Amino acid sequence: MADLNTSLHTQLLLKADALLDQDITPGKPVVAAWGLMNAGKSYLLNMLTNHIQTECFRTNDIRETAELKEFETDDFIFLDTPGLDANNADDLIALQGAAKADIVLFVHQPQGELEKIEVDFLRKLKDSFGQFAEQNIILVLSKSDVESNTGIAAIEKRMLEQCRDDLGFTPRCYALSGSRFHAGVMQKKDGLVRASHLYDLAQHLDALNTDASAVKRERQRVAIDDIIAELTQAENALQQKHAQAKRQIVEGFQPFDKAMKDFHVWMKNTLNKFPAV
Amino acid sequence: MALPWLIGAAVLGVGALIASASSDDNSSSGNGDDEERKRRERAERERREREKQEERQSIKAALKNEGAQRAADFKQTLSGWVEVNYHSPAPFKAGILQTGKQYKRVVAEHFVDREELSMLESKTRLNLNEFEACYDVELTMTDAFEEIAAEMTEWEVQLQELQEYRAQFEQIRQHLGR
Repeated sequence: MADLNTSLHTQLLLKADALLDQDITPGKPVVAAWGLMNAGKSYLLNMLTNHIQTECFRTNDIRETAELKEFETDDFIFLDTPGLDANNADDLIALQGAAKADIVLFVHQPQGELEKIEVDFLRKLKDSFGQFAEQNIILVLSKSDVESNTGIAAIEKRMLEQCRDDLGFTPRCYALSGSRFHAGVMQKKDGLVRASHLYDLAQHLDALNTDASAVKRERQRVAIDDIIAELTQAENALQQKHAQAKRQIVEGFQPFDKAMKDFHVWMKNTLNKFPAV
Repeated sequence: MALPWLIGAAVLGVGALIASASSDDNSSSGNGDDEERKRRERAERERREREKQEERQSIKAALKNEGAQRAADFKQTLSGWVEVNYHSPAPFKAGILQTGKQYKRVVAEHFVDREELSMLESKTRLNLNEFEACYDVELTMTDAFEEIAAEMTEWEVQLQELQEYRAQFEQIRQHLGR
């Protein structure tokens, strides 16, 4: 139990250190791809950074991205994050990646609505963006070519309903096909490129590239408010434990204190009776 | 005419002699009474002093006895928290001086100071010090007490760290809020 407490304490301090070390000097906006494993994050980033034939961000069916990988273009720094699965340390790296980001592309593959774990992560993300959440978190429905247009539209509608009803915000959503884009570029077929909708997303990113430092400041403000709340909560928990232990000790020594008090009274009375020389 | 005067003077002279002789008798009897009174008073004082001395001895013995009897109780009341190891079969060492003042052992370093038991209430610390002063005893913390004390110390350190971090963040937050 003590080890667990120490571990939680250490984690909180590490988080605090990371926040203190965070650089919020204005620079290129950081665009992070975030989502479950194999959602298509790395493929999306390869397309956005023009890595058509060679992979900058490695894609694989197995968990490939166990660290943050970045690529800098003229306008942005693109960041790939480990796939979320809510059960290991890689999620912490993914969260660190999201913490650095000015824009997050939340990538979801169209097997259905957002899963609970995705909603939970999106909630944290949305909270951390404060007033910029709706503008700077973008839902990306990847691999849209694996489903009919009607199916994609239904999933997109459902995802936006979940965001509105469960999370209280309405982000933009882009249904993209990386493979159409790839084929379009390779085969020089503009129709396929257009149908991939990748440039729509790219244009939207360009439009967002305005005041990255304002987003950073807002995110830092939110993060600091959160960590102050966490530190206060941890302090209260420690104070409670400390007070409880102290009470236990005080109660434990009560019989001794009472015995000593009785002895004192007895000695005082006895001494009073003593005929002094 | 001179005779009656002479007779009168003679009578007065004899009366004065008788009165003088009577006064000497009284003085001699008073000296004897005073000595007796003084002797009786001395004897009374000595008796009272003997009684006081006996009372003193009795109170001293009662204190020894009471201290010895309570030794086991003190050990029992501290069980689970403090190991009590008496150094002799008659460990109670406090006593009463003839002046009525109590004397106790001088302890070089008290248990509560040696173990830095600041988490104890002040009255408990004083009681433990008093206990060591009255008894020839060695006090040590039980494992359970040591564990709790170590945890409390660790929590205090952690609390300090958290407060320092929070102060830093509150300062940054104030700066960002401007």
